[in-house]
Amino acid sequence: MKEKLEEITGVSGVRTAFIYFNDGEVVFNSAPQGFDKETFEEIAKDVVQMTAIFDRLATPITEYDLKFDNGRVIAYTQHNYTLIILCEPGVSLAMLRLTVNVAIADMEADKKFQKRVGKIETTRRSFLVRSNMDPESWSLVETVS
Amino acid sequence: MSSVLTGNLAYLEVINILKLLSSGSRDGKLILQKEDQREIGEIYLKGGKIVHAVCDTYLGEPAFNELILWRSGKFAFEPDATTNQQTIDKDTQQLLNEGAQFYQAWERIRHTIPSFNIKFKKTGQPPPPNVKLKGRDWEVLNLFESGEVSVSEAAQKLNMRDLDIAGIIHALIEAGVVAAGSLAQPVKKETLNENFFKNLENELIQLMGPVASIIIDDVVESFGEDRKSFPRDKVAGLVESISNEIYDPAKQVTFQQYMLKQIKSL
Repeated sequence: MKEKLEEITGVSGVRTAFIYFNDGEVVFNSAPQGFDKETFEEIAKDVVQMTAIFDRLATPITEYDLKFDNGRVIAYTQHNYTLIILCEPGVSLAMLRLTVNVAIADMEADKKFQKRVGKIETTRRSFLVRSNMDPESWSLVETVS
Repeated sequence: MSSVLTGNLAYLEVINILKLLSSGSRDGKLILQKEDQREIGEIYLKGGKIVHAVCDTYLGEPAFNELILWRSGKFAFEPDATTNQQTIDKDTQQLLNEGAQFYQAWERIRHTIPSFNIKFKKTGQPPPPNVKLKGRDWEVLNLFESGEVSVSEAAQKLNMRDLDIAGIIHALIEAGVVAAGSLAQPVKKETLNENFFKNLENELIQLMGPVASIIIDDVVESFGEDRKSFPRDKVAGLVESISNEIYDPAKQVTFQQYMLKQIKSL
């Protein structure tokens, strides 16, 4: 799994990549300065919550590209894990997508990975808990429910 | 909803497609797709009137002005597609006329500034008396105090669009206060060799049969390029676009795995 993350971070313009399993485990290869496990978790939870909201709207989202002044967060949501990539604004998207498609296919063909993912019982829906959300996000959840 | 009008932007300019749809009093959505970055833009028409445009983070006229400059990629018109958004109030005829002028202006700029990465420098000459620089012009000119600057760098520093900066630098060049920098000669772009296309075609033939060659040529053409001079920096976009033509997901991944190795070995 880590070597697949390494391949992704090898794409020009990628700062780091990590996998967030819905049960809370974060797997990353190397963290850039200023990032730690907690920061990764925070980013990932936001993405999973957003995905869960879109699931409720029956418009499932599998790829996010969130643009900020100094970077981009690109996320690929799978059934019970999310691959999150932090990049420079000008990252080569085509090269990144090719690398990610191949990496995800390789990981999902790996029995060890399948076993790990198969153990996860936490659904995205369970991330939409009032106590875990700020009032604005909760109000959004209530609106779409 | 199916599209009734589809084509390649290398052969038909966006502004002319819009003129055609507008004169036919059409309702619907024109979808534009850039091949290399998979960027998508949309322009909605209601009774031939352009009412809404969206592209990346731009809406309305800024999005419209961005989209009319796209010169490669695909377009498709979905008749009867509607939107509740109205981000363009301007009279459509006026919008199209201004758009055509804007496009022509860009054509002129494009010859002076063929790439947003080419650097420019201050000539040290004062602006001629008949040229009055405005606030934004001075802001851009001041950037050259610290050395050579490209359009992209200036746009990033001033938080403006590349195109707007290019327009200002073009005017500054015409006024004689800015000139091409020492590294202004565009570097000759590296192209893909014959062997790359041979491997690509062989792999695709195995997955899709003899239609492979036609698919490759179509995709290459949609980039506004040909096989002999296809730029190496567009290779990932090319492979991605070709792989999108493979409908079997397993075959698609096989193709991507093989081509990724080819790209890395370039």
